[in-house]
Amino acid sequence: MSINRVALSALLCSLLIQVACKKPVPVAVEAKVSETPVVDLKAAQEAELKLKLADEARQKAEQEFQVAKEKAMANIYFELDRATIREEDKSSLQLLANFLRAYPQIKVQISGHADERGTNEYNLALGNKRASSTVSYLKGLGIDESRLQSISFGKEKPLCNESNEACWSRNRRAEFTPIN
Amino acid sequence: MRLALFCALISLNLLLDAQVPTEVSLQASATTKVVLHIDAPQFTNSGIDRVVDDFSATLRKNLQNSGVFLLSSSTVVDKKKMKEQGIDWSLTYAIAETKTGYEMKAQVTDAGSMNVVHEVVYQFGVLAIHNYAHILADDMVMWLTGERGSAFSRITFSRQIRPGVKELFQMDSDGENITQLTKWGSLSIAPSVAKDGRLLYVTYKSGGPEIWGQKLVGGAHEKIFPSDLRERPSFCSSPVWSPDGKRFAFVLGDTQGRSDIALYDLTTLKVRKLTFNEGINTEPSWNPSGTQIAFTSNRGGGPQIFLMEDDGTNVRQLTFDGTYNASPSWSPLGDMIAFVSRFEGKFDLFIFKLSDGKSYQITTAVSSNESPSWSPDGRSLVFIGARTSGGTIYRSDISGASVQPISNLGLCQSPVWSPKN
Repeated sequence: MSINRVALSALLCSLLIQVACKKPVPVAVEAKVSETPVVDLKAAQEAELKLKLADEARQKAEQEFQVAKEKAMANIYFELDRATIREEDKSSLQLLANFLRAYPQIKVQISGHADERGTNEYNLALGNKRASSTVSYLKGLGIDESRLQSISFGKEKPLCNESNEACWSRNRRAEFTPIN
Repeated sequence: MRLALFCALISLNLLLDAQVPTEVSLQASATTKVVLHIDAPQFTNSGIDRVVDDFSATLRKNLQNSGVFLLSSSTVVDKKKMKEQGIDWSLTYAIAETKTGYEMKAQVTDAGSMNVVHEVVYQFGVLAIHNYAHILADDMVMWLTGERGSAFSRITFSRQIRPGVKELFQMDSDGENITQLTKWGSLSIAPSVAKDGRLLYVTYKSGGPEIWGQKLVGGAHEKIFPSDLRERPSFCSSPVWSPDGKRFAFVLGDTQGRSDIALYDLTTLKVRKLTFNEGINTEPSWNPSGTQIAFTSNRGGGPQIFLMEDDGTNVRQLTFDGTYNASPSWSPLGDMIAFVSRFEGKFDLFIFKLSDGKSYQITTAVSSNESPSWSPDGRSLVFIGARTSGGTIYRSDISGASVQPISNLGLCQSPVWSPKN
């Protein structure tokens, strides 16, 4: 779309330059040229306006998408050693399901994570369980499984490294990443 | 004679161990150690003093780590009175420069009889100085116990390079000679090393977890599982070579959140699931003969250690005390299983002795201790501790009396000691 706009602008400039820099030419040719610039200029201005409006609409839609995506892709969290979806996170998943329904071309990677208080390998399995239970919940909200890709990182990608409950609770999470 | 004395002391120690209650430290084995005096090394010319110093430092470190020698700090004036100073053995060695490198002669003298009981001569190049210090240390352990020591062995581990990127490394058992094994720029974790040195690990280099490794000794790293992208499971982890190196156990996950132990056969290229459980089954560890597998499962609630045959039959629970027991590591002799137990959020190392069905605590929770792996001679454990900084590699004798950092590297995980070939 932006390429067409550039091309059209180039054409318009080209026509204006031609009009401004016009030299005496044979009558037959001048008659032919003298009518077209007026018509083309008006059409080009209308086209430019349409493009501008379309561009503004697209930017607005993009902003709305980004805001909706940010809200929909908020992390959800888990209790220690558990993979059950918490009541307080169900509204977040509903928001995500609504978003996925509004944007059917979007797929999501769901990554399961754990805090440091488990062994590396057990936490990878626990992360898989957390990602899977999240996938299962979204399926229950009507989202096709083919749009949901689960992965586990266990405790390999912590958000923080402090040994306290505030940090541990941030790391026991499922993260959502859009994939096209 | 000396071997018999050592065995008698070990037997006495184990007899005492059997009487202690569960989850109490094994008796410190200092009484079973042979007190060793090391003479100042002799060398032929001053130009090789740095080589000799290097050799001597490595040898002393390896002998200290062997778990069977106690290095004497006494000054010996009269060799005939060594026994009176509590010394059992005396080691003398000389290093000379040759046309192609160096020659090292070593002698062990019994402090009681003053007889030379062992001697050896090695010739080696300049690049093999550390290796021959390891070899002499292992020789001395063998002369004493009948089994070679583990100084000449390697430890493989994963280490964080930057957030989200972990690579595999390998180092000598004393922390020297570190080499980087992978450069995928991704998560590369959970290494396993076969007896012939072939590597196996999990990497996320293609986006999701895949099992990569070497099909041939010294061969290129290649993807082993899944062989086809369409077969990629939601999850795979923990690959561990079988003792014969013909197959490996690993964890296969599905989209329902289940994780099961499975076997991959390198000859048939087929996968066979061994567990069919709703929950988590992970961290497989083979017994030395490759007929049984220890693993962690939460089938009863929290994670506990279980055993099964290598066809998935005869599953039985090994640990019952505590709410979180995991990371089983079967000893090279098959008589013990090391594992970790969590209490108040921190892990400690334990050893389960199969002969008496009891577990013994090895470390105490000053900080978390994870991922135990046995030395090839079964006398030491390597593990991850957080005593000084996160993810430092430590070693301990099986009594827990001697815990030492192997290197100062932080951010390490999953150390595995290469098995004896």
